[in-house]
This record gives sequence, structure tokens and C-alpha cells, in this order.
Amino acid sequence: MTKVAPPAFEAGNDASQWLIFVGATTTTPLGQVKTFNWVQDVVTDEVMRVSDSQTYYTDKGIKTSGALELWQDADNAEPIAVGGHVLAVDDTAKTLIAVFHDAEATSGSAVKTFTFTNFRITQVTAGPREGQSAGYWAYTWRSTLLAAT
Amino acid sequence: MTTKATADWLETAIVADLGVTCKKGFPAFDQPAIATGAYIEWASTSPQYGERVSSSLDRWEVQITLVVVTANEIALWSMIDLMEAMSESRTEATISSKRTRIRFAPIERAENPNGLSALRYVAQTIIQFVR
Repeated sequence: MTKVAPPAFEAGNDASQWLIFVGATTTTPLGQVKTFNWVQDVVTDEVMRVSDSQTYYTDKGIKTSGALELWQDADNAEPIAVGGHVLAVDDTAKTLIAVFHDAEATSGSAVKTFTFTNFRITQVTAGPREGQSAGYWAYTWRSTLLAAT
Repeated sequence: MTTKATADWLETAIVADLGVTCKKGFPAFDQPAIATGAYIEWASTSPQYGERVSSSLDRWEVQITLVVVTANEIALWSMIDLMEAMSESRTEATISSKRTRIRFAPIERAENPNGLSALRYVAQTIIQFVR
């Protein structure tokens, strides 16, 4: 069987095409995001039994967590906005929305909107870095639900 | 014109900190008569891409070359001290309403390939503006 030619490599893999918002509205995006990514895990029970080579899996739910890094801004506004300034046990969870667009320019339009419900910073690494370097806040976070629309 | 504003800021700083006249643009360095003083010339403007999510071209780095012509070796040494002090005090400025970081490259003796008497005691450096 002859080899089929693959489709052309598509543009659209650039982080400049994403906008990230805190809160339930997509009006004012964050401007100091260094990195943002997420991980989803399927939480599963495994059952095995004697005399049976098969493993039985039962899915219990989905865990969503990830990493976020913000460049230090002059007034600390964005670390406060994402709920990662000073952690407290009774912090109110946020809604975080990441929107992927089909182009970097403002003429581009939204392709997919990822909404993270109950976005909660769970770990903060902050403070000045080594001399001369730019400061940034590094977070790990969790969310109770991720929906893509 | 941010580049012009940057050069204007540098000229003002040089006059105040080094106590010499400052001309924009270099003289013809192969001429025998070159006045003492400072000369600045734009060297490069470099885009800084990919520093954050949501945007691609985020900052600019402008480099301007500074040449200071002095009358003798002792005057040159005094000038080096003044340039050191300027490097320490001028680390940030607001230029064209933007916060700009200022960094000095090593201060070095300028080459004098034609062996001109007027260019025997010359210091040069590159000043970097990131906005």
C-alpha cells in the first residue's frame, strides 16, 4: 500500500493565540502570564481476582490541576486577581477562563473556551529571584470542573 | 519617536553626569581635528519575542554607542570614574511614558587605527535600553 501524503502543518500552535481571564467574564484578560498549562487525570479503581488475567477498572472521576506563572507586575494586581497573593484556608475559589483563538491579531475569533470552575491556587513560589533577573510568581492550582465550549 | 526620545534622554544624562558636551552622531573619526566631548550613535533595536502568553512581541531593546573623547590620559581616567558613577545611578528612567531599564556594557578604550593624536584618550561603551 502506498504512503498517503500527510496534510500541511498547521499554524495555530502559538501561545500568543490564547487569552486568559479571571472571573466569570471575558472582558479584561491577564497581561502578565508567563506560562499556563493543565493536567487532567482519570481517577480509577482497579480490581483483580484470582484465576483471572483481566484487570477491571472503574472510573471514579476526573481531577484537573496545573501550573501557572505570572510575571511580577508593578502593583501586584494579577497575583491578587488569581487568588495567589497570600494563601488562606478560607480563600474563595475563582473561575478561570482560557480562550484559544484562530489568530493572534485582534481580528481573530475564539475557537474554544476552556472554563475552570473553582480555580484554587494550592501552592505559591514567589519572591525576588537571583540578582538582575525578572521576578515571577509560580503556582500550582486545582479546579473541580473543566468544561470546553 | 521613542528612539529620538531615548537619545534625548541620554544626551541630557551625559551632559549632567559627565560634564561634557554631547553630540548626536559620530564625527569622521579619521579626521585629525576631533573635539573633546561625548558622541552618541544608535547601534541596534532588537525585538523581544515570546515573553508571555497572549502576545508575541512584548518588548524592545535599543542599544546606543557612547564615545567620550578626552584630552589626556589623566582626564580619561577621571572620565571612566564619572561613567562608572553614571552606570550606577542611571539604571531606570521613564522615557516616552514607559519604564525603561538601562544597562551599561563594559567601558573600553576605543580603537585608534589611524593613530590620530585626537583619538589617543577615548573611552567607549554601549548603553542598552529595554522598554
